[in-house]
Amino acid sequence: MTRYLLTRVGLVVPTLLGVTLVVTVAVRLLPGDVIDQILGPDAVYVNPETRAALERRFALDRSIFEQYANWVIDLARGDLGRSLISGRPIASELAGRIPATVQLGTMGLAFALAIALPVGILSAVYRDRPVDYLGRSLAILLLATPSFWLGLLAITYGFILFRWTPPLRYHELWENPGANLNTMWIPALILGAHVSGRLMRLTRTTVLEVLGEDYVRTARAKGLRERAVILGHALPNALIPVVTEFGLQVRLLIGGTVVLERIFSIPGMGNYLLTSIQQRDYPVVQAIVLLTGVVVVLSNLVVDLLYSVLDPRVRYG
Amino acid sequence: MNSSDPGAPTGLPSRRQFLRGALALGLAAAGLAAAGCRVEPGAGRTQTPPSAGPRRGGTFSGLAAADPPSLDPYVSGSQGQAEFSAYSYSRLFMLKAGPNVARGSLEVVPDAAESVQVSPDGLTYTVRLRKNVAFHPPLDRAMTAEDVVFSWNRLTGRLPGSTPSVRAEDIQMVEAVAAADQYTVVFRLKNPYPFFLQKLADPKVFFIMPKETGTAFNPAEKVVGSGPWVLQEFVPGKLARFKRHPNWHLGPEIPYMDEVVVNVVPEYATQLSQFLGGNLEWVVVQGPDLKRVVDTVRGAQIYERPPYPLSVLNFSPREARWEDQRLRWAVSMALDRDAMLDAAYGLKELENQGFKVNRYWHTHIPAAFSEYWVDPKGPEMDPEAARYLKYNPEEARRLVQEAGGSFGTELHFAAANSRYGEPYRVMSELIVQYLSRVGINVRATEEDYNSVFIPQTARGEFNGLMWIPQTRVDPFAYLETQYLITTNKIYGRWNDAQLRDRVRQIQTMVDPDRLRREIRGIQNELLKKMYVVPMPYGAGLTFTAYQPWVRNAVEYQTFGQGWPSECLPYYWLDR
Repeated sequence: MTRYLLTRVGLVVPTLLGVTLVVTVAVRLLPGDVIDQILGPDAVYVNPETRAALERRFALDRSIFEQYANWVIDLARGDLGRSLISGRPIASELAGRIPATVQLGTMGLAFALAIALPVGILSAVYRDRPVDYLGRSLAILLLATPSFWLGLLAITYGFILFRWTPPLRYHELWENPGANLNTMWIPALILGAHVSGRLMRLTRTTVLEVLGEDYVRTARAKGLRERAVILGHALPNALIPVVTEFGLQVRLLIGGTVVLERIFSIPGMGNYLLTSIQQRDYPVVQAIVLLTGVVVVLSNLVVDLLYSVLDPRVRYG
Repeated sequence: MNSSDPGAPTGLPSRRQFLRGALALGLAAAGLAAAGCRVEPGAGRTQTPPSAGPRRGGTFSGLAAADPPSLDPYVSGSQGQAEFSAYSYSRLFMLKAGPNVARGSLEVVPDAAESVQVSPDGLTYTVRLRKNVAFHPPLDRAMTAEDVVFSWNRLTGRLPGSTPSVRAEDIQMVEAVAAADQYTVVFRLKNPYPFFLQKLADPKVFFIMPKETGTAFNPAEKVVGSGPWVLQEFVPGKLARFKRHPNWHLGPEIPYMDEVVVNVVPEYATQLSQFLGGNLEWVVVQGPDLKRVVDTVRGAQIYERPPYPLSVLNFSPREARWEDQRLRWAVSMALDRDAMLDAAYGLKELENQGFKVNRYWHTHIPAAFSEYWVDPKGPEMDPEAARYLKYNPEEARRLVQEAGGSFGTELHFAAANSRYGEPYRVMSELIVQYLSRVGINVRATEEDYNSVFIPQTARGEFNGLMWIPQTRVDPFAYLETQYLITTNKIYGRWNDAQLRDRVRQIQTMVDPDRLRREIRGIQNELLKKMYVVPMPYGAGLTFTAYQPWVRNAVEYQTFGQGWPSECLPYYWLDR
């Protein structure tokens, strides 16, 4: 187990370097550089000397690999660099935005689990009965409904029907928990609802599979109550694929919240990443991708380790 | 609102009295709402009830759709950058605001300047500075000519180690700037420029920064200006909080309000809900939502914004086909501008709701510049020129046939998620349909704004047609960018020496009446030549709504992004 862990952790650094290198190259290969974005439509009037000066200022006159190498060297020193556009340190920009995105993602995933597991299990247990039809229809509806649309509906009809608007200003959880939760619960519910569609279907399928297994039949033959059979015997075995899927959804903690952050005016990282890509703010994009990479790699590791907890037959060596 | 009348009869009213009273109150309220919220014909303003006079204090809850690109005003030339910088930084001049100023007025008033003297040849501007212009803390010192020259050098990249601002191109006409004494700055121009003071008033171009900028503090992290608002707090993605500058040179009475909080609210639907909920003092309203605003917020004040942005349909510089004038006319005459305005801005719906609606047609000068714009529907426009803007599909079809018959081409426009908004997208679809009806079979090419439209198409790398909006602070700038800048690939192709000479002549005019006459006159020629086709985008009605308690808001308006220092100091709150 220790050796396995060390190997996995050892792979984290090259994985992240590989990911950031790919992103560094890819974002610079996109047509239109940071200067084009700053100039906008007026780029057509700018003389070549001005453009050359701006290229020097943003170090765009150097090769991509030189730019990347310098970024990695700074990173090794613990410096994420500065935004090309705002000129402010990226670390401080991210520090202000990470908590909102992490909270929204976490609450969203919690809502997703809270919706998906009961509905998925009920669907499986009452297979081909009205509850199942209802659960499956709900899952398809949630999968098919874009979260931006739900968000806009919530904002527009929230006011028309209930005179409700989200608080104008976002407050951190530790500053003002009431105002924070008032801002966050609806976007988190919408986010969770969208994710829950997939988890619901997966839960139903895997629970159905294990309900036909011998050990479930044995449990029932022993005279256990149905609730104990489902929750004690079937569910733990059905959860492995669900946990895998859940682990994959952790990426929502970083990037999946873009639209909802925008609609509900939440100062998170999703919107910042989108703007940075549009503006070709290369160091910011690289920093956020690095951070996303860290979260995804670590969550995959945690998911792998969880397998052994859920299924004692799984051993790492 | 609570009130008590000592002479009022006491005791509870009867049921009949109550119902009668309620009915009368309801009718009165409906009448007031109808009278108080309608957009006045032509004026574009609603009137606030008279009040005792300006009241000091309070916090103005404003909004921005995004963070400014930077705190440093010279990093970006965007509208968001200009507006944010205008809170805290002074300019030498600014656009005049006030109850008697015409909409779209280009009149300038001194900001940090005290006066200006222009030489008879229009080549030297001697600007005297006010002596009471104070920089914000921690500097707390008076502005001098040295700061102005420093800022100019920073703008143009003449400071050691600095790069030119993206807006340095806008002031190419300036040869040198020097401090004559502690409070006098002299601008020497290479050639006369008719709207030079407006250029200095443009918040996209020139702000005055203290000479300690870059050495004593980093302007990307700290704002030290001398404008009406002192930046107290900036939380990216969330808000910017400004406190009134107690020693503002146009004070001490103004700014009337103590504080302004600019909340970042990116989404239009959220902005609108927050305004309707009373959390924001103002919001830009799209036409179809106007009735909802007026119905929900009793006493809402509505300002009809001038038709300021101009957009033009450009012809590919790669294709010889467009040399044929008949095809350029056909493109313009194929478009039903009124119908496009109706579809994109919901004007018919507004009319049905009882609002007075104007349908402006831009020429090559935006309709907002009413002093310089010639109304194509009016008597002053040469009928021969005006006919090229009128919807005439039969004539357009005939011209296409004469020029060789139907053909296929492309229309390049920015994708729906660009910053141009819904009217632009709607009009793009309509152009395709209108042109196809006259034999110009157009394939719509919707392009990503950041990856394709700006870096490639806007630079002239396209086939067929392309349309792009642009905004300039003065009417001459439109002529200059289209017909004088030879590096501009799109317009440079025409190489019309006679037209260029005429624009150059306008450039040298210092007599305002002659200048006005010439700019009005050249619009006839431009329509006949139709090197670019003026589009109705930006000419539709858009509105700004203010809460009923925001006073002076509709009376103090300027166009452009300078309003935080031109208008906001005069607003006051009467909750």
